[in-house]
Amino acid sequence: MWKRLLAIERLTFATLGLGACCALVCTLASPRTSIADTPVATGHWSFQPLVRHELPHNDGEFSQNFIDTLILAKLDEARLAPSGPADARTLIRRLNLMMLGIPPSPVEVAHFVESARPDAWERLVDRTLADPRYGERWAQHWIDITGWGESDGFEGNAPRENAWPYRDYIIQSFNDDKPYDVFVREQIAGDAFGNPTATGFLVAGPADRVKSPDIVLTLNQRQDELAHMIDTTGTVFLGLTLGCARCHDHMFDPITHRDYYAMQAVFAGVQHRGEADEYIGKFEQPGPTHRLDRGDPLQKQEVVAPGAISSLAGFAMDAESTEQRRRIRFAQWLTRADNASTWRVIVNRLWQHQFGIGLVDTPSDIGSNGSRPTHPKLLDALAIELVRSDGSLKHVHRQILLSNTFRQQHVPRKAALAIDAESRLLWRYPPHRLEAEAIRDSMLAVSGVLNNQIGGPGFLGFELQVPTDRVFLPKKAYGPGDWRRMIYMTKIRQESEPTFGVFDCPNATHTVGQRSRSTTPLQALNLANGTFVIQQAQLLAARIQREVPDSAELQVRRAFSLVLCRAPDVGDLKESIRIVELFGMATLCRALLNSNEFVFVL
Amino acid sequence: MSTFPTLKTSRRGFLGYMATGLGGIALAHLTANDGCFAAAQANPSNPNAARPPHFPAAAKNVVMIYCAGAVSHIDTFDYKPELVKRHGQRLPGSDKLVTFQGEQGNMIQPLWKFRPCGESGKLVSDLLPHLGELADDLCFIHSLTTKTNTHGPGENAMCTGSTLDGHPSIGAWVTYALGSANDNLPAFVAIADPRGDPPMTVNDWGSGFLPATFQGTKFNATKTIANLQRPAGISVEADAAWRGFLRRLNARHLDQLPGDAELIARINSYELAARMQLSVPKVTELSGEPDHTLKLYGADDAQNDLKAGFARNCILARRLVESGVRFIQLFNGSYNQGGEGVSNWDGHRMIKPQYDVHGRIMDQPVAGLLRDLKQRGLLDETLVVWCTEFGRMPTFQKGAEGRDHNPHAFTCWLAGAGVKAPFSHGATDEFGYKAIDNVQTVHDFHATILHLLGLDHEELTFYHNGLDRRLTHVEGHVIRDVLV
Repeated sequence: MWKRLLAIERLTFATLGLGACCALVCTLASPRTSIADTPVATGHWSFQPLVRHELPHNDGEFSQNFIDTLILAKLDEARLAPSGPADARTLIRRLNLMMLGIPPSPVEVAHFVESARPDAWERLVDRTLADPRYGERWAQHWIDITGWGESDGFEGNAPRENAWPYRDYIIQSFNDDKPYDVFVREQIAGDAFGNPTATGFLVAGPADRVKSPDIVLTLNQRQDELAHMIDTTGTVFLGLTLGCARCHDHMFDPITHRDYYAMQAVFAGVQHRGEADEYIGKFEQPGPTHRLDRGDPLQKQEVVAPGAISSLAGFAMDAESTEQRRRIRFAQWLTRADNASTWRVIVNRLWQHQFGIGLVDTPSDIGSNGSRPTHPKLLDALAIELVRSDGSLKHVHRQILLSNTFRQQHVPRKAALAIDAESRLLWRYPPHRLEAEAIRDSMLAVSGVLNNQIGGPGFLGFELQVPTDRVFLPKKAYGPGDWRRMIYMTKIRQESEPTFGVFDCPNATHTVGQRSRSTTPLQALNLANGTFVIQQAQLLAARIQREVPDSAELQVRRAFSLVLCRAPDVGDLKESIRIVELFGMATLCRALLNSNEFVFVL
Repeated sequence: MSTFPTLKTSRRGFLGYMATGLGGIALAHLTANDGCFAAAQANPSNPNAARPPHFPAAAKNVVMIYCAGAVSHIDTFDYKPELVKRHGQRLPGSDKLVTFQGEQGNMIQPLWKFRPCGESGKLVSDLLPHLGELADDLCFIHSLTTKTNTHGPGENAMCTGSTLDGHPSIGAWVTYALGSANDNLPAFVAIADPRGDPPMTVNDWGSGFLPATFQGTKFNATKTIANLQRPAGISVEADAAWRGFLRRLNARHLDQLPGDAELIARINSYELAARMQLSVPKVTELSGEPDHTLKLYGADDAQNDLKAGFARNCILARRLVESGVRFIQLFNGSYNQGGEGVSNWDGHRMIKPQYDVHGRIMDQPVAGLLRDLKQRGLLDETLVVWCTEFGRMPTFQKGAEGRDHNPHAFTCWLAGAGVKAPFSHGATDEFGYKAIDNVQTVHDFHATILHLLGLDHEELTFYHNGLDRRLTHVEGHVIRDVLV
């Protein structure tokens, strides 16, 4: 059937530069023969108001809070049982890695394992949420979805020396537990709310600096820039692919072609301009915005006033409204308590980064072409919880962390796997590999050289080839300046950090809502032989020898507790001592830093 | 996560699984609705395992030669007698024409003589005499067009189907679809020019939003894979010891999570890496190649290091084909040693002397590769693609001795498995300014390459940010005319 639809709906782009939108719309398109005037129905789940559902009755010992109750209800339906609680060591390691991106120290592990206090977990959770490394970890997730980078992209890819304050703004906002609605509003119109740095969001994307006397090219470059702002705003805050409406009405979601240009009118005055103090939004009063037939800037249609998605209680304002006023209105619309998408999308992201996968597994697309939530009632309950707590993300984190759902074991059960192989119903804590940043940061932490400096200009992960400055080569040697957390590594667009980039690390060319998690031999080679890791193994060995000078056995124990947060068993111990005696501590450390156990969260 | 979810799960569930990533394993469409295709039950612990195509394929391997900077079709393969006749006159209608760098000067005839080549008598310019000799083996597409007149987006379009950065390269799509045809080398290799990377670098062979498993691995005849070898200062014995201990640690860890595919995949990746430590130096070691082979490719040219270096890369490409590497992207030209025509085909201002340099570097090595593949019987199952991002103007730029960008017409050619030869498809207008006959897009070109590999470009999809993405977006038709 779709082949016929393809014929009907094939869109020929007269314009240059179109690429991001419209891929494959037709393979899934509902059988509509017109792409004008009839917005898609708004009956889709994510366009419905948030609903507080009556909690099902289950009073077993698993139900610590509403989260467990709703998880258990689904498990019951699938005839699955939850898993028992994970042991203390697994739990503190999981908590640290997911919330801070760095494993706990041996002292922290011992303290928690030995604590007899009934509120030990709660106290640990509170301490963790107050840790400034929390902001550094969670800012990385935010950067992924914004596609923020510290260079222009395209051919020139020139550096943006002063883009970093926006990164620090995100870290600080997470650490301060800034109310989410404020956080959103500032990124759209922070210049009006006393925080202009936040508008780095608007100019997070690439900017094509290639100039040509060819006016079509210039117009299209500007359209692409604006498209990036609109598209990113949609995916980040609303989980809607607004970019799809650039050339025509959205194929799946109730976003009209005209809505797209109403939102373009909101952002039409935003300029990329970098020479100034900070690389943040620069604003000027724009001329009229026209709807563009098929997205082609040469095919101007009627003038469109600033607005939002009309079918989702959008707003109307004068076509000549002042520039800033447009963004303020849009930001207010985004953060209304009844704009359900805004709240669902963010709590889903919180869940995603605490379990490795969201309740909706297409976190930046909750529209009709995205996935349905595995637990719709839970998603709404979490969203309501966020609204009721005045937008406190830490409050929602805390609810999740205190649940028994989060505290389950990771151990697979054959019968459960047969029913739910992906553990999407959360009958266990789903094990998964750490991201590039967490692997690198963890190495630095266990070797003891991690530089804890928060904020400020970043460090370069490459050596620049002179004289072009355009070729990014691996560094030949690493020193203390490189040993900050990876969030402070200057984010060069298109380039992939030489050692860790291959771990599916985004390169700021797209908004990335959910990273792939692939496994490749290049990853193995980089961790096995890369200069960075070899040096870390040596530094770790030196640390151990410094801290535990005399006994090979104690040294091995120290190595295991630093890297794996556990003691070696008898066989591991014996074999380790043999390796240390024959080949030195660094050889053992190299193996530990490469192990599956080190790079997986259980 | 220990068993692969049944492919009967809902499409979205499966796609979610792909994104959470045991590594993007099988073709999304296999789960969907197409009873006509065999369901390839891919093994998540070995995402590189070979997978069958949609239909029987003409080609098993691809060597894609990408010439950076936009090769002038006017001066190479697309002969326009009218340009010779009207040399020095205005291009009709060009008075107000503004191209990438600005205004036009007069029409300029091809800067090299064209002569009939082969049995077919195909006219090829003297810039590329060796390729001219092989004209009977080539299938030209003279009517290609692209969506941009700018190099970066143009190179992106040819290598990834999108003008924007960050989309999966064609090699990544093919690897995602078909997996690897060997056990000890990457499935997809990108061979950079001796002068350095092409302008868009890793974007050309990156995996974009596909899992990183499917990206190209970059090495060439002189520069091997980063971190391939045992680090300096570490003995063979120490190297064996840590590996042994790593195996032990990983095996014991796996005992706690029996059958976990992601853990097994990671264990396997270390084993493949270890095999690559042996196999990559072997495949890049050209000292065993006989003199007559070096001569065939021009790798013995003592006067021209760049040509010899590129020729060695061409020999490497053949060796990779022999070793079962599925997709090989061979780059010609870079921007590292000077942009605008200095180390690539971007001849804006001094096209004649610059192309004399680039032609000599590219011509004999590529011709040698074709001849060598042919004499070894490998051309029957290998598709060779020669391409660039767009063409150049029939005019010189105002005030310069070179040609500006032209997205309205350019020539690429195919050779080998499944394509007609000698053959010429499509045509430009009398001046070579615009494609007018059988006009083709880059999407058509890609659709045709996929088709030759047994893949339906409309079926090869991956869900990302709201859409089932394709290499060819919503466009592209297989150019049936060029198929055998």
